[in-house]
Amino acid sequence: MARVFARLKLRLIVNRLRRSTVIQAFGFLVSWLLAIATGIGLGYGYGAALLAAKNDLAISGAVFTLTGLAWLLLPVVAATLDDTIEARQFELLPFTSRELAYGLTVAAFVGPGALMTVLMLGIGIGVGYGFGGVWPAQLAAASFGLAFMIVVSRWITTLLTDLLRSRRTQEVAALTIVGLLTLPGVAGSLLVAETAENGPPGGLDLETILASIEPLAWTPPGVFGLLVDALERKAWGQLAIGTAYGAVGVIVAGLLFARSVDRLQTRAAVNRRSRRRRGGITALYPKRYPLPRTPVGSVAAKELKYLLRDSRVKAQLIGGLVATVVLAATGGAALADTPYAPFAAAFIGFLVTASVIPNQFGFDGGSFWAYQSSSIRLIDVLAGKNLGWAAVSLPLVAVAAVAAAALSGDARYLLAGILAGVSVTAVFTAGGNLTSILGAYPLPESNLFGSRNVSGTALIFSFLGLGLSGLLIVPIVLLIGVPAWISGPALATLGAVAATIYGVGGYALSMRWIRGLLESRALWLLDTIDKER
Amino acid sequence: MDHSIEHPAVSYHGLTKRFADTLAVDDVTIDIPLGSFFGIVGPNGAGKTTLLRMTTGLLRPDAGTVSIAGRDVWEDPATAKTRFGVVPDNPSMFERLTGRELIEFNGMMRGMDPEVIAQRRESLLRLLDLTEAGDTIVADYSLGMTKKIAIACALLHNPSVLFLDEPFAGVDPVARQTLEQILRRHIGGGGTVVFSDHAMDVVERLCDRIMVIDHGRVLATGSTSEITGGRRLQDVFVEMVGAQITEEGDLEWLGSSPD
Repeated sequence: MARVFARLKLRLIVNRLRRSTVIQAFGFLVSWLLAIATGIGLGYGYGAALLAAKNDLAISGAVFTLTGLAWLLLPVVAATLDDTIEARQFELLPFTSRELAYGLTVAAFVGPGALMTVLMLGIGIGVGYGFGGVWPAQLAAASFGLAFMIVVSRWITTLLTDLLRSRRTQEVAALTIVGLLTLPGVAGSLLVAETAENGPPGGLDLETILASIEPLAWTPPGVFGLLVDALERKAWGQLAIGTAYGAVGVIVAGLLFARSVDRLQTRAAVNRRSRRRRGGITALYPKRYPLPRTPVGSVAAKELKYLLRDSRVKAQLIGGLVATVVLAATGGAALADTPYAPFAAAFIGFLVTASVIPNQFGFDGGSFWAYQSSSIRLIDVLAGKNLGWAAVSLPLVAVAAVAAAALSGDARYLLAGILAGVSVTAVFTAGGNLTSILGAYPLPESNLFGSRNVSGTALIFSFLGLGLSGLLIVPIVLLIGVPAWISGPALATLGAVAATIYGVGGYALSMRWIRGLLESRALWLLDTIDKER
Repeated sequence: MDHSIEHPAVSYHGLTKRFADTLAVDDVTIDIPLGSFFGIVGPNGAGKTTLLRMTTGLLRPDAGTVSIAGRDVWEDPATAKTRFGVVPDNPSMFERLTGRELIEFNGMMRGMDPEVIAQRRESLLRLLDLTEAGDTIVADYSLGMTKKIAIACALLHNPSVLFLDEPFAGVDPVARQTLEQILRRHIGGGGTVVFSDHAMDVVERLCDRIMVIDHGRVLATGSTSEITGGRRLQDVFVEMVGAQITEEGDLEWLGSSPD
């Protein structure tokens, strides 16, 4: 049966390549090469860390734990290049849930994620511990660990797919995922804080770091790191305990996965109906939205409604804001001691804009046809979407600047900070508009996991768009930073005015420029983001 | 002589679309008269949906033209799109809006006056028996309700031509009856309805003109009575497209004990 599922997955990959255009095939190839290169790079990094720490167990434990966390979180929150096979596709076939869980796990081994992980762990172990006699056994232990990560990952996504058939649970899950995502950031920040307190002045102490991450070796995925290390040391007791622990972990996770598969296939979804009767809530234009009653305004109103009701958008935004609070409370706290605190507003502008703007049409999923078959111009749709997000990000920019100024007790750079936020928002919106047109991918409204089959081309355009936006921010930094450094707040504020003219003017110019591009790409957009209808 | 033919609601001239080696629509040239209830029938993969997508600006043809009330859809899309409404076969809507918001959103996108939108929205919701469900978000609608709200959105700007791709698929008999009444009312008001469907009895009952299409080619077109010649449309259709008869012995294993 393993062969059947592995061949099915390979066939899906090959068929996808066969129906790709040349540029899509190129993007697909690049994404696989990227996965291989990343796996090799991370593997050498892992090996180098092992050598530097003299094969300390903490390194392997931490690497396996973080890899496990990536397997747990990435399929849930990130669009993937993988042609994932879903349990529901087999619900009418005569497989038991355990057979299906096994088959789906085998299929997950055939893909860029698994290849990257195997390369990373194989090369890391080889470089760090040596490619000697125990290397094959260590690689087998690492593969055993990868199987555990895949099973847990598939279990979580299957469980969520089952739960998320109800809109209410979608909301809860989206916010839970945001919370989970911030955990590594909080852990990292705490580690840095602890090292700064307990370590030697002026630098990070390696031993303190290793002592801090040692407990990670005893987390479920970290135990596979323990196995690899025990093989090297020939610590038979640890090896026996680790093997037993790992085997029990794989079996338990596998059984839970099979149970979730069974529930998904046999249990009906319950969707509680919400009926809101108060006119102010059900109107497209509530009184609190001072939006123009035009086609552009109607799209902006729809975007704001989605901000309240679409768990994907809500999760993106709240995730960004929570991350900001974490950063502000840890590393960013130093900024509060300076008069430059209001410039945190620029970061908020970037964060809110970058969360959704780079794939604006993708969030409409299969509904894009409604724009295309109505008489609205697509440039007005884009302007409406931008207006909706500006209505969210700009007030947040202002609040952040004022709050940061209040914390620092110095408001001299307040106006410059707000204007910096406005100009950064404008530049990222312009860049995001471009990637929305060139590298759109579908994110159907009913699927919190994003798209399963994002083309490599879309990812490449997303990276290029973010890179371009980053480059376009350089003049803003120079226009505000240089006067602030040379002179002070007055000149920096003048520079910020110039930066705003540059940012907003650049945005307006970009809208004129992309009007034709948008019209010429309209049918491509329709075809691309309409796929999951 | 049918004078409405002189002023067609929809006019196709040499419309062609090819996907790789498959000719999906092959040189379709036909006029659909104003005020007609026009049915497009054909087997699966015949090219019906492709034809409707090219007509409504959702798929660019390789060759040929399509005009709605005299306006070329691909030369002057903005004007052409003001004259028609469309309901795709599996309409994805902005499902996090309520029914009322969705209709209002569609009207505003078309630049309609908010007062007119509000007035028409309520009468459409009433007519479609969606007044109660108007404040429920579309994600919670059944398939029949989704089709009805899609039709409300398509009718809101009072288009002269309404295109529907399999509007009755998956719709219960009550909702079907309502949809039929609305479409007849649209025709009664001078509008034109063009729809594709597999249900031959529905097409035969509703349509005054029919086009039979297979492998992208128009096999026959004309008034319903001309096409059927007094026989059942189902029989005429099967005869035209050629039913595949299985040879004796091909499926002799079927119905025996499972392997």
